[in-house]
Amino acid sequence: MYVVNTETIPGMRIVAVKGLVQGNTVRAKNVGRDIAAGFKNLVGGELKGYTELLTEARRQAVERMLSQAQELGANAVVNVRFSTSAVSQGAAELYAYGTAVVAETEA
Amino acid sequence: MFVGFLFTLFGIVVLGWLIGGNAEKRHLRKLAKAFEESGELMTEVRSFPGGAIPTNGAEMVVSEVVIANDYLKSFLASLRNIIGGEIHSYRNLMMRARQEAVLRLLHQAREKGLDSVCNIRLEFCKIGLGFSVLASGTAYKRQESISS
Repeated sequence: MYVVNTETIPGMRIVAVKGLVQGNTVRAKNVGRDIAAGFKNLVGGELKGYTELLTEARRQAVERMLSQAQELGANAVVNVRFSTSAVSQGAAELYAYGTAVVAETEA
Repeated sequence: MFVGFLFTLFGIVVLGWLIGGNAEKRHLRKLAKAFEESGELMTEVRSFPGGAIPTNGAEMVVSEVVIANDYLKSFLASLRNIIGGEIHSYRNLMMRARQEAVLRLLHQAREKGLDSVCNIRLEFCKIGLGFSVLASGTAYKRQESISS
């Protein structure tokens, strides 16, 4: 499966468009991580626990998007976009969407 | 007793401010150095500037950063809210988060043996106590880098 966030794939020709595919997830870390983040706030800087949370969420959203593309019989997803929103304290929604296409190698 | 409590609180805040300020300076230096040294092409245009080598493939790279201000700066920012005007501490914080996210894209591209990232998009949201930046782009190998 080719995944790019551009409209084209180098060396490939898009022969069919299968439509919009999307995946989302809302994830929360446990209270311990929230408290750890509260301590980290004393000095500021990166909140690693939350970064991990976001990475996991992104992986899952992309996975769901790709399984949709597979069901449609696509072999590539182009023009992928991400959107994040804070649903509540310590929980984040991650939404990934793109266009499922069938691409073949240029002769 | 109350004075003691206040003093401790003040100490914690000032200590946090000193450590946080130092970390911020170090981070800014690291970012400046990393971008100066990198020969990678980072763009946010939609196509592949310089032309992509098809055989190397193009691959999406994604990175995320969650960053937070320290309590003292947050407090000073809330004071700034009263009189209005630009809040420099948050401005710096946002730029640091964005640059760090872009830097991570670059590292991912480098790990895959690719030398350029195009169509970089930055997504921003507030999460818990911090601010999150999600950066995405498409990494590829530039054609002109062979000839030069």
